[in-house]
Amino acid sequence: MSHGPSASGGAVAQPMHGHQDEPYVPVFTAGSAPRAKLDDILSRYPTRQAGLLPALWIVQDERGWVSEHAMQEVGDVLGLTAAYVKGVVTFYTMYHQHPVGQYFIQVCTTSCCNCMGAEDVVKAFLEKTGCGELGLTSADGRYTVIEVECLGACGFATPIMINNDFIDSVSVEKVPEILKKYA
Amino acid sequence: MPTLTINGQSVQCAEGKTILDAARAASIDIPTLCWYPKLPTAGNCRICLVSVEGSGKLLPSCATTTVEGMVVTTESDAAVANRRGVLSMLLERYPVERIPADGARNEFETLVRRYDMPTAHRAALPLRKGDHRLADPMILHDMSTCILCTRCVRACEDIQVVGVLDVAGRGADAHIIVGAHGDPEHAGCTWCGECVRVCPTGAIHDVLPHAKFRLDTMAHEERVVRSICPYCGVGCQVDLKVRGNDVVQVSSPWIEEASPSEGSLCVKGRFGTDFVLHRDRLTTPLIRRGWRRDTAGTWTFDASRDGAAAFPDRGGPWESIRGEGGNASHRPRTNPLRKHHRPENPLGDPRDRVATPESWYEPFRKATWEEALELTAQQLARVRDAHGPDALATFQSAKCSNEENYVLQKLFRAGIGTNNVDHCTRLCHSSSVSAMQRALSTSAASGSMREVEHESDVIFVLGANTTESHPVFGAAIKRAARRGATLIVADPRRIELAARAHIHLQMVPGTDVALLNAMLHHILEQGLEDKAFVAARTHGFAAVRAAVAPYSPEAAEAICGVSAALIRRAAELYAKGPRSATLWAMGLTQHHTGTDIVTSLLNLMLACGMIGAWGKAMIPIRGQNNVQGASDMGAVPFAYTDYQRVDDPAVRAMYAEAWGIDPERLSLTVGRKVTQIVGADSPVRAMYIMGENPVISDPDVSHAEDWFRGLEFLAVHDIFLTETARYADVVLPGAAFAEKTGTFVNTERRVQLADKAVEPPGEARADLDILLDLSRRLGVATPYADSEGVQHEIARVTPTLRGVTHARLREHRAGLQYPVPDESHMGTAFLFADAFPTPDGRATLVPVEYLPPAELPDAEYPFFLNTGRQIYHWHTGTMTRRSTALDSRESTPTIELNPADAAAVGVHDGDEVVVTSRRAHIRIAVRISERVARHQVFVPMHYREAAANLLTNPALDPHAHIPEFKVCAVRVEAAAVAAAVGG
Ligand code: SF4
Ligand code: SF4
Ligand code: FES
Ligand code: FES
Repeated sequence: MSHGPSASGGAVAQPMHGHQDEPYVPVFTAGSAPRAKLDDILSRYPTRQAGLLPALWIVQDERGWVSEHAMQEVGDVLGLTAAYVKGVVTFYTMYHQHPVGQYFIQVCTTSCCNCMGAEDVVKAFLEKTGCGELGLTSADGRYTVIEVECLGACGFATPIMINNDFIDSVSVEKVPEILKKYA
Repeated sequence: MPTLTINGQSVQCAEGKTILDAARAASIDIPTLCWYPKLPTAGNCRICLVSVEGSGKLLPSCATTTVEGMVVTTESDAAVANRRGVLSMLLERYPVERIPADGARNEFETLVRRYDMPTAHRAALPLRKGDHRLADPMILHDMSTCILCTRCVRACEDIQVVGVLDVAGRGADAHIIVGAHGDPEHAGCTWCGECVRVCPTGAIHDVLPHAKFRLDTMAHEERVVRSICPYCGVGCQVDLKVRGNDVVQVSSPWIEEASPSEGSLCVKGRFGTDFVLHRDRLTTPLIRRGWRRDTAGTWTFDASRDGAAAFPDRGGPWESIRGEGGNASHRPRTNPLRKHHRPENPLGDPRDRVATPESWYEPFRKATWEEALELTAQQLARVRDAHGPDALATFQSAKCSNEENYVLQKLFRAGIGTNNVDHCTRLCHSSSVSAMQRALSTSAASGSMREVEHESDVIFVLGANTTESHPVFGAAIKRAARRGATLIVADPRRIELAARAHIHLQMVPGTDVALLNAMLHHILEQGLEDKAFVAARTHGFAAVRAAVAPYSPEAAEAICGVSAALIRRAAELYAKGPRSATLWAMGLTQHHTGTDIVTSLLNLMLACGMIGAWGKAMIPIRGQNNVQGASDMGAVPFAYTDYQRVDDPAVRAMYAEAWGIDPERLSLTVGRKVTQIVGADSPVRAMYIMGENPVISDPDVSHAEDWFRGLEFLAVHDIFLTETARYADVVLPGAAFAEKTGTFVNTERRVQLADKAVEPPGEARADLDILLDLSRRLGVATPYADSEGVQHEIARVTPTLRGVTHARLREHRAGLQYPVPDESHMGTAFLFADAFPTPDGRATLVPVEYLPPAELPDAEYPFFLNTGRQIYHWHTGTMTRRSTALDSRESTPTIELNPADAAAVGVHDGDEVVVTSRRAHIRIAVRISERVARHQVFVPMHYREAAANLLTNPALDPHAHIPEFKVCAVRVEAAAVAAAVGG
């Protein structure tokens, strides 16, 4: 645990409690497909706790993000406290704690890619999607763009991910074409 | 047993201990932050690193196991440099400007000073954040001082087993959260304050009881006095921090000190004692208008003088409990649901909340002690002389100390000559006592809470909502379940323990005998009984075997609504143990068949041999902080101290001699019980009530209320003008728990000493003082100056307490579990290893048959009504409703209603309903809750304005005369509907 300044210059996430999904509709209702999927996953592990990450994925697949109500629900379903679930959700970067666009675009901006113009790729995405700023969702609700650390494809700068799809060698020119596929 | 060297000193420790453990045992101080006794080791703060010879790097002493020959230096240059590094990193995000220039406010700052850290400038980094608890009347967060040691997280998760807190985010963004939503209510917080206790910086801190003290003055109490929580029978010890004549803070003793609670408290103990400071406290004696003393010194009552005519029949300008229950017009129209409730001024002075209406004082005038006691003594003597001793009775108090209870029963037995002496045990565990007396010749728990926590393999909890009624014990049971003990819960409601249990036997209320007989039936069918135990240590087994034969699990299923398979599984688990503990409370006892129900449980327990060994505890969980002690002291109609029978002439002779009186003055007739004293055919005409409020706690209170008004004389000795005290002729202002010294007995027979912290307010006097004064006026010798002297006399006449003295209890703060036969004896943690205290040493099984509750739902009254406690309140609410903190959590009476029933009745959360039984009706708000089964409702007993006991059925158990508080039939209607049809 680091007590020093953070890489981002010391900004501390303001704990925030949003309830954009009120009234909450549970994901894992009896008989539902997500429930069946979770039950199947749980059958493979000795403890229910082991199903936490997959359960959160299911929520994110269904809803696009993991709300506090969803954390509570996952906790109730798995016999964990809501606080514990939130601790896990907030530990990882891949769970969204706020609604994001239908297409979630992650652009690597770590050093290798940076040298190869990743910043410009990011700018192009921000512009063409209408998001304007990192982390914000476009007005039409379709896109959210963020920067990420090394995606492990340094030889094919600049790699991006759109939802679960991996696309390498992205340049500013290719951006409009890519976005056509994710319209 | 490794031997190691720490700072040149040779230290031995047990296998598996850490360097820190070894050092602490040798009084070598190693600084720690994330480590805390009894919490799982986190090892994340790195302040405790020490040098170990041969190791290339520093090692965390809290997480490094000792090995033979280790050579440790705790303050080596490297260790100190590391510590300063850790502290300087923590200080970068800490509000250093708030550290007092000349000292430290908390554990963390103490280390900052100890390692001489510069604190003049703050680094240009933002302070830490975290979830707040806005406007919380008990616990506040100032997360800018959080150092993320995670002690609070572990205390909540591992001690209280609630899990409200956790760490969210990581690295620089890590912060403490309250549930997922930042809402403690939603996250299941019970406001126990365990997080407050462990936090090393005050980032989580308590709101002080009677003022907003600044954080930096918090530590500055003048003295700390050890007392005992005034609520339940767990008997948690509390440290009262006193400044002047005020208790400024209540905290729990250090976690490693031996005490029944191991340093924990629940919300009532930690935050609920501010009633002591309440403005409603009685500060002078009161005498009802119309009483006057003539020149000859004789007191007479004349309704035509002093304005007494305005208040006929010892009444006053108030509504009766019945009137108030049915009429909700004057109740505050707040939304009764606590999740929406925000007290206007959560930090306000509790003395601003007046719960006793001014008008209640109108029928009284202030009096001197001389007047009040003279009048009381004269009237008690007059009624005795005119109608005989049995025309008098006293209700003693499970809230008062052993000494006080002892002196009061002595006053009535020796001074008046009657055994009409009882207290609220009649309304709680009297059926347990009659069943246990019959089966085992005992009246108390056989075992201890700690053995349940650490040793029992199976814990069978019946009719006991421990996580609300005995929260600290409830937490211990949850810890036991977590360590692997099997939890079986029998309860009509899906209470927290039931939801956590391996098996929840959710039976129809009042069908316990059928359930338990069926469990025994199955055990016998499988041959799982403990044959050796049955043969060697019991009588009556054959008769019980025959009696349970018809109770097949299928037959029981039809009665209790619990599946036969589940009954079988529970039976097998319990019988197979190997060590099963048996715990029960009001859910079993408060029935017109209470004695039978407890007997059927004892049969099961004895047949399986689940008593008399460590881990096989039998614990009737006691309700009040001294209900066990009051009973032990003879505040029961059939016995002197130690349950020595009043109808035994030899016992009488012994007491007469001890008290220096003629045996003829002591009655050989067993006295009347609470439920026989209050009643149409009762010969009682005058009463002395100490610290009880029967006008709310008795069943069918509208009758009780009328009965008290018909008395010739009523003296009430209490700290507030209670609903009962308002009908008194004389009101004597007593002392609250913090204002007196005395001994108390908890649910595991542990005698503990509470010390006086502050003086009673105004002219109020210590209860013992009042009783001794009155005793002298009635001619009872009082050869003692204080409670310590009384305890000496108690020890003389009470074999099981012979070795108990105040001096010993001061020395052994954890208390002594009786029997304590002599002054060198250290007490008895569990009983009956070899024999039961019966004449031949054997226990008796008694066959019992299932009888349905006295009143069952029908077409007109279709719901089962269950009554009981809530976590934030206590009994008749006299104390808790005058605690700002507690009352802010539950300020309005509510009825728990199943969602399906609520839909059927047509009401939503918070709507008002009229609940009607054959006796009366009340108006009350709905709380929709899955905890109650369909066709069952639950009403808490704490609220005068919607008194549950207006509804309850006064059907009595024939043996114990305990009323059936737990089952009666009611109708529930939306208030609007009821109004339309004239309800
Ligand atoms: S709030 Fe207190 S106990 Fe909890 S992590 Fe912060 S400093 Fe530690
Ligand atoms: S568990 Fe009982 S004795 Fe302990 S603090 Fe709570 S009410 Fe008091
Ligand atoms: S730096 Fe971009 S993929 Fe490695
Ligand atoms: S006390 Fe040892 S690492 Fe924190």
